[in-house]
Amino acid sequence: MAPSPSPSARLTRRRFLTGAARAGALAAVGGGLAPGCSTPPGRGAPRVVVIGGGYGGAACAKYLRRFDPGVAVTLVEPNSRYAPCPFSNAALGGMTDAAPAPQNYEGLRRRFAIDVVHDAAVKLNPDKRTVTIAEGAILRYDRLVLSPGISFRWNHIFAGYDETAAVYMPHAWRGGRQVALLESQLAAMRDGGVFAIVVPGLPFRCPPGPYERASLAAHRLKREKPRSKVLILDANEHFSKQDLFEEAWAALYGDLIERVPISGGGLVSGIAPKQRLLRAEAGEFKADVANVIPFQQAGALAVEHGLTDETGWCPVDHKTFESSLAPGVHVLGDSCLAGTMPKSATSANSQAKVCSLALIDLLRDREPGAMLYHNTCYSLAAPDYGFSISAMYRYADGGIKQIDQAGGPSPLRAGPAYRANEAAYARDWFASINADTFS
Amino acid sequence: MKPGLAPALLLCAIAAGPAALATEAADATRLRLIVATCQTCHSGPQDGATLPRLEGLAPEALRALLEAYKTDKTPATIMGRIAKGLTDEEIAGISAMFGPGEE
Repeated sequence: MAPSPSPSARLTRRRFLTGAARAGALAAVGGGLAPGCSTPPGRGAPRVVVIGGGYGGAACAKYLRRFDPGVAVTLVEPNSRYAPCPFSNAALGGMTDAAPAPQNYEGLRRRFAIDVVHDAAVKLNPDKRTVTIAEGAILRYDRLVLSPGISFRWNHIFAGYDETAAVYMPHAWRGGRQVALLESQLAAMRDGGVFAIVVPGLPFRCPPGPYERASLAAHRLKREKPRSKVLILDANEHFSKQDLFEEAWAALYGDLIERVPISGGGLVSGIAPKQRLLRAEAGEFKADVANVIPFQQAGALAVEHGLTDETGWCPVDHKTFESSLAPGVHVLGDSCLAGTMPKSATSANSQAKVCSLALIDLLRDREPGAMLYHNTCYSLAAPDYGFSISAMYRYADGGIKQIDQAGGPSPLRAGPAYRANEAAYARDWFASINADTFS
Repeated sequence: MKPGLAPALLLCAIAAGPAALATEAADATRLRLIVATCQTCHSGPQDGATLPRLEGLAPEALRALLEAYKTDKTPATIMGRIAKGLTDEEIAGISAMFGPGEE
C-alpha cells in the first residue's frame, strides 16, 4: 500500500519544512549518510564514550555521529560479535530459519568512524571524566553513556540458583551460548517430559519473553514430543499481552501449557539444580528441562559504581538520560528507570536516539527540548501467529508519560490472516532494528 | 500549520527573538528524532519484506497515509496505534523529510 510518487513532491517539501528542519532533513533520512559521518572529527572535538554495544549503546553511538559528525564517539564493548536476544525463542522453538544471526560492529566503525574498542570497561571516574578499560588504557570523555543491559541477582528469592546452577538449568536470558544450551536440552528431552520455565518478579528484561518462550517450546514439543508439558511457575499474577497469549494457547496448544500464577503458589523459593527440582508454594516440581530466569537488576558496571537506587535500577533525567546520581554519566536501555517504558530492544533503541540528540544539545550548550519515545514489541505464539504491543510517550511534567490515545495491544479474536501478518512484521522488525542499530 | 504559512511564521519567529528561535530549533530536533524513530522498524531489506522503507516516498502521499492510519480510515495492524501518537504538524513535518532529496 505504498503511496505513489507525486509531481508536487518538491513543492510540498518546501511548504512544510522550516529552515532548521530542512537543513537536518538529508542528514536525518535514508541509507545516505550525512556529510562527514564516515570521517573522524578533528582534534578538540567533544568526545562521548559509550559503554555497551547492544540495542541501546550501539544505536546511541551511531546516531550521535549521524546527527552531529563533529562529535567524536568511542564505543566500548568486550565482544566483537553481538548475540541478539530477540528471536532467541525462535531458535528454542526449532524455527531454524528465524534464529538470530550474530551482529558485529564493522559497519559502525567503517560507515560512522566510531572508535570501537573491544575491551571491558572496569573503572569509571566521573569526577575526572575518565573510564579505565581492562588492558589499562584510560579513556577521557566529555559525556559518558552506559547501556550495560541487565545483571542477575543470583540466589535472590530463587535460593540455590547461581551462575553454576545455570549450567544445569540455563537462564538463556542474554542470548548466545545459554540459549544454545537450553535448546540442546530441549532437543534431548524425552517425550512426556516436563519443560519448566521459572519467571522472576517484574521488572525484568523483555516482559512477554517467558510466555513467548513457552509458546514456541510448545509449538516444537507438540510436533516432536506431543506427550510433553510446558509448566510456567510465575512470581507474578498478570503478564504482558496475557489475553493474547491465553487466547493463542487455547487455540493452538490445549493443555500442553500450564501456568501457575503467584496466587496459585507459583513462587519458587528453592532450587536443586542437578536434580532439576523446583520448590514452589504449590509443591515440589521435578522438571526434565528447567529454564530459570533469575531476578534482575541494572548491568554490573552500573551497580558497582553506585548508579542504582534501592530498586536496583538507575534513576535518570527522562529528558537527557543523565544519571540522577552521577553528573555527566547517562544511562539508557534495560538498566535505567524510564517510567512505564518496558525493558525491550525497541525501548533501548528509542531511548538511544533521544539521548543522542540531548547529548548533542548539551555538548553544544543548548537546552535539550521535550522528546518523543516509542516502544513496539512483537511476540510469536507460533511461527505464523504473531501479535504486538506498542506505546508512544512524550516528556511531560518532568518525566516520560505514555500518550493515552495511542498504542495498545493487538486486538483479540483477530483471525489467522491478521496473526500471520503480524508474525511476518515481527521478522521484518527484527531485520530492521538490527540494520538500524548495527549498520 | 496550514500550507503556505511557514515563511510567515518564520518571519514571526525572527521578530519574536531568541525564545521563538529556540522553540523552532527544538521542533526541528523533534522532527529529526521522530524520523529516526520510524527507522527502527523501517530500515530493513526490501526483498520480500512487508515492512516498507520510507525514504523517497512522496510527501503528500505519505502524509495522507499517516493521517488515514491516525483516523482509522485505512486498516492497519499497528500503524493506527502508532500514528495516533503524532500531531498533525509532526505528520506533515516528517512526511516532508522522507521525501525525495533536493538535487
